[in-house]
Parts: sequence; structure tokens; C-alpha cells
Amino acid sequence: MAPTIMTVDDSASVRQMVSFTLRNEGYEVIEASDGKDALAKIRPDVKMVITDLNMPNMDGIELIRNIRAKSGFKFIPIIMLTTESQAAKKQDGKAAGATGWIVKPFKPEQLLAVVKKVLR
Amino acid sequence: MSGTGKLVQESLQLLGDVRKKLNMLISSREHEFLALGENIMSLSDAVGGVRQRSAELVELVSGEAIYSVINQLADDMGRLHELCSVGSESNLDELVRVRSNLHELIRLIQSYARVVRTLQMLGISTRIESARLGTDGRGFNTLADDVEKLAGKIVEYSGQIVQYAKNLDALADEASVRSQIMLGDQQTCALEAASGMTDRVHLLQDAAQAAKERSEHVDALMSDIAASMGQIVSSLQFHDIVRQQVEHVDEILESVSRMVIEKQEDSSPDEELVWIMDVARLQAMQLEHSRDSFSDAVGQLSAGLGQIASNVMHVAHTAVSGDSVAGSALDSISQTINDTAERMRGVAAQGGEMGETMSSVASTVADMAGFLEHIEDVGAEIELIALNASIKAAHTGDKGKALGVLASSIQRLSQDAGNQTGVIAATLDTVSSSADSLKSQARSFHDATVINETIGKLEEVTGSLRALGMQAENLASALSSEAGDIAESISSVVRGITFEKTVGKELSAAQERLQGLVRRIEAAVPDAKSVRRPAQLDQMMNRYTMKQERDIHLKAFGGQSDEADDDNIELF
Repeated sequence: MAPTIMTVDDSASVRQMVSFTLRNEGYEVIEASDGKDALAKIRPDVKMVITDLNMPNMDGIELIRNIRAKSGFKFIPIIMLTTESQAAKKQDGKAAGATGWIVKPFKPEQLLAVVKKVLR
Repeated sequence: MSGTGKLVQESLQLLGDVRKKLNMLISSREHEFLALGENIMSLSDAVGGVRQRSAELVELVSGEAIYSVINQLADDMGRLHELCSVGSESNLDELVRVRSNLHELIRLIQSYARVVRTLQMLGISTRIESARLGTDGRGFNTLADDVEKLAGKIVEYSGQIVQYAKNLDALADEASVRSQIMLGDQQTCALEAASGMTDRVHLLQDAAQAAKERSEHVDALMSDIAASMGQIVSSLQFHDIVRQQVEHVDEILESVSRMVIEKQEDSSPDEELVWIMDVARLQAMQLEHSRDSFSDAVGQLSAGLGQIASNVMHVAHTAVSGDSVAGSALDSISQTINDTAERMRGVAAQGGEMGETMSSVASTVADMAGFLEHIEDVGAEIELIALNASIKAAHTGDKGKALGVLASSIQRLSQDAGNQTGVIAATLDTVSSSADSLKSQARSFHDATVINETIGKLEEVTGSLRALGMQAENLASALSSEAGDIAESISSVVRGITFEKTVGKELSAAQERLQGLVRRIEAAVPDAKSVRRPAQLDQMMNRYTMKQERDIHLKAFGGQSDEADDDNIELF
């Protein structure tokens, strides 16, 4: 069975694009519009989270901390997908427990390469 | 309120108006972007479907199946050619030999005439000598009677053999004519199978090669189109990026407005105006960049989609652009197979007739052999009678001396006749063997089983090829039709992309309003350079998330970015 991946972004168009790219490769996708929504929707079968950084209600860094605090998700890969490219921000993400960082705009094949590498 | 104080209020009002417009500008259009995204993704799926079909087409026309069938066809045609080439040329040679032997037979039989004449003379002489001897030669009259009677039988049998031989010669002549016709038909058949069919198989191979190259070309085009669709899907991110840029402009305008309204810094109206001017100038640049990026992105999206539509149309045309060489070659091969089959069946029928003729020849030869046996019996009988007469003549003493000579002559003659009969029998045996061989050859022609089997195989193979060709044609046609639909849908999507004009216009309007404000403040505060800028303003204006924004900021203040355009992916 294909792994389930959660995409978290306040932009519906980004969620749409990420979901399309992943579903085309056979992945199951769960969409969430911000950190809070993601925490409500996350399931034990989710194998990876791809999240934006700047979102209303709960941002990406806080989401990572919350997910890491949940039982069963301590080692789940979490990739940041954001327009933010400053080293300090990346450092914040890494400190919070992010697995990787992708700066928008990205190419679908780049996203897929990261997903495959991380899930392997 | 002072002039500058009034301008501060007007500036704050303007910033509020610009913010309101910007707030609505991108977020209110999200449904349009989502609909565009849905359309593009659905087209991408459709392109994926056609890509799959093009791969199936390549598999079908380049796969082992089609070449294996063509090779099978070539092999079966080779077999047909072999069948046609089993010529009746050897029959003709055999028939020439038969006729030559029959002529020899007639010549040999005719030499019996000399034997008969001598026998008749010896018979008369025996009768005369027997009369001269009176009672002593009485028994020799019987010898004379027998000799005359036997001479008559030889005449009768040899006459019959000659007649039969002449009849056989006529049959062999007829068989030669028939063999000539068969040979002609076989040569035509072999020529058709060899040259015509080989050419058509080559045509078929060329057509298969052309179809293979065409389908590979279509597949490569579809692969490029699928990759381009991926880029188009990826380009949809521009909406999110521009949205964020506009949001950042809004946030900074809001921050500077709040800083002034809430008097967060101990400030004079001139200072507040300069702070607003700095922010307005910078955000006008950010909006200009956003507008240009947005316009470029939409332009590239439309151009990319237009190019894809054009490429998909090219695929639609290319997929069905193959000529009907394969079809016409197959029609031609089928026609040749039918013609060859008909001709081969004709040859088989002629073979049947030939077989009957040869059976008749064999039967006649058997009759002739019977007559020859009679002649042999006659010879043996004469020999015995002559031996008996010689003994009788010896008993008669000197008186019977002449009769003894006659009896010896008769005995020698019968021995000569016997030798001659042996030669005739050997010749007749040769004719008989030739007839058997011709009969067997004719029987193999008459057996149409192998022909029918080969023709059946050929029909099956051409049927398979026709089915494969039809399958490929249907697949190409469906692919072409789907590609045409996709091209039309893409064109329709491109025609529907109009929002960039409105968005661009509104971003330009906001930019111009901010620039107008900058000009007004520059005029109101000529000594703006010397005005104090608090640290809060610097922090506010440096609050960016995107490198593009930071680059514009630095450019505005005469700086240069030291951020490298690194790989946008980092795994920790």
C-alpha cells in the first residue's frame, strides 16, 4: 500500500499542486490548511509531513514541535516547504526537528526526489 | 492642523486604501487560481493517458509480435515458392525418354518381319522337302504347319505391340503438351511467389519500420509534453508567491501606519512623513516586482500551454499520418496468395489428369508385356519343334539331311528371335519404369494437401498481420482523437486566462499611488535625507521571507545581495 503523506499549507493552490504531484506517484495525501488543522487530522498511518512555515493559527515550527511531542510521531520525517530561505530560519526549523527544507518555487521532480529519499 | 500634519493624515488614509485594494486583489481570486489548477491538472492527467496510449502503440508496432508475424509470412511464402518450384521439367525429360524408347520398340518389333519371312520360307522348304521324301518325311509336314502357324502368331502379336506402342506414343505426346502447360503455370506461380511476394514483404517490413519510427516519435513528443505539463503544474506556485509578496507589502504598510498612529516613536510630522515615504517607495518597488513576476508567470504559463496545445496537435496529426502501405501491401499479398492458390490447384488438377494418363500407359505396357511373353513362348515352342525335327532328320539318315539343315536353321532363327524379344522386353521395362515414375510424380502434384496447408498458414498469418495493423490503426486513431481534444481544451484554458490583466492593472495602480505619495512627501519635506530613521523602521523594512524581496530591498538602498542562489533543497 502506498505511504500516506500530509501536506500542510494555508495556500489552497499549493496544497492542490503538492497533492497532485504526490498522488500522481501513487501516494495517499491528507491536506491541512494550517498547523492546528494538521494536528487535528494527523493519523498513525501518516508516514511523512510536508509543511509550510508561515501559516495562520499555528506556524510550521510550532507544528513540528507539537508533532514531535505526540506519541508515535517522534521520528516521522517532516519537510518544510516555504518561500523562506534565510539560514537563521532553516536553523530554527532544524532545531525544532525538521528533516529537510525546500524553498519555493520548487519543481515537482525535486519534491518527489526528496520524498523518495526521506521515505527510503 | 499644520500642512505636514494634514499630509500625514492623508498619507495614512492612502495607505489604508491601498491595503484594502491589495487585500482583495489576490485572496479574492483564489477560486480562479484553483479552477485553473484543476483544469491544468485534469489536462495533465489526460496527457498522461495519451502518453500511456502512445507507449502501448510503440509496444504494439515495435514489439516482437509484428516482426515475428512478418518473418513467419516470409517463411511461408518461401515454402509456397518451393512448392511452385517442384517443376515438371523432369517430367518432360522423362516423357522424351519414353517416346524415344517407344520408337526404338517399334523399330525392334519391325525387325520381327525378317524373322517371320524366314520362318515362312523355311516352312515352305520343309513342306517341299517333306513331300520329296514321301513317307519318310511325313512327320515334317507337322513341323511346317507349326512354323507357319507360329509365324502367323508373331505377326499378330508384334502387330498388336506396334499398335499399342503407337498409342502410347500419342499418349506421351499429349502428356508432354500437358507437362509444358503445367511447367508454364508452375513457373508463373514460382515467379509470383518469389518476386511479387518478396517485394510486398519488403514493403510490409518498410511499413512496419515506418510505423515503429512514427510511434517512437509520437512517444517522444508525448514524453516532452508530459514533462512540459509538469513544468506548467509547477508554475502554478507563482500565485502563492505573489500572494505572499502582496501580503508582506500589506503587513509593512500596516506596521508603518500603526507606528505613526500609535506614536510608537517620539516623532514629528516631518519624520512620520519621511518614514511613510521610505516605506511607500520600497513597497512600490516590491509591488512593481510582484506585478512583473505575476505578468511574466502568467505569460509563460499561457505561452507554455499554447506550445503544449500546438505540440499535442502535432501529435494528433503525426499519430495518424502513416500512409496505407501496410494495408495495400497486405491486400496485395492476399491477392497473390489467392491467385497462387488457384494456379497451384490448377496444377494439381493437371497432375491428376497426368496421373491417369500415366496409369493408362502403365496398363498398356503391362498388356504389351503379355504379348511379348506370347512371342517368347512361341520362340521357345519353335525351338523345341526344331530340335525334335533335327532328331527326326537324323533318324531318317542321308535322305533327311536337308530336313536336318532346315530344322537347325529354324532352331537358330528361334534363338535369334528369343534374343530380340529380350531386347524388346528390356525396352518395355524401361518404358514401364518411366510410366511408374511419371505416375508417382503426377500423384504428388495431384495431392493438394500441402498446398492447402501452406495457403491456410499464409491466410492465417496475413490475417494476424491485418488484425495487428487494425489494432495499431485504432490505437493511433484514438490517440489522435484524444490528443485533438486535449489541444482544444488547452486552447480553451488559455483563452480563459484573463485575470492577469486585472491583477496587473490593480498592482500598477497601487504602485502608482504609493509613488505619487512619495513625490508629494518629497515636495513637502525637501530635507528628507537628514531626517532621523528609527531602528524599528529598519527592522520593519527588513522583515522579508523571500530572497527576491530582500534583493529588491538591498537594491533600493544601493546595496547588493550576498545570498548565493544555492540549491533550494537541504536535508538535515
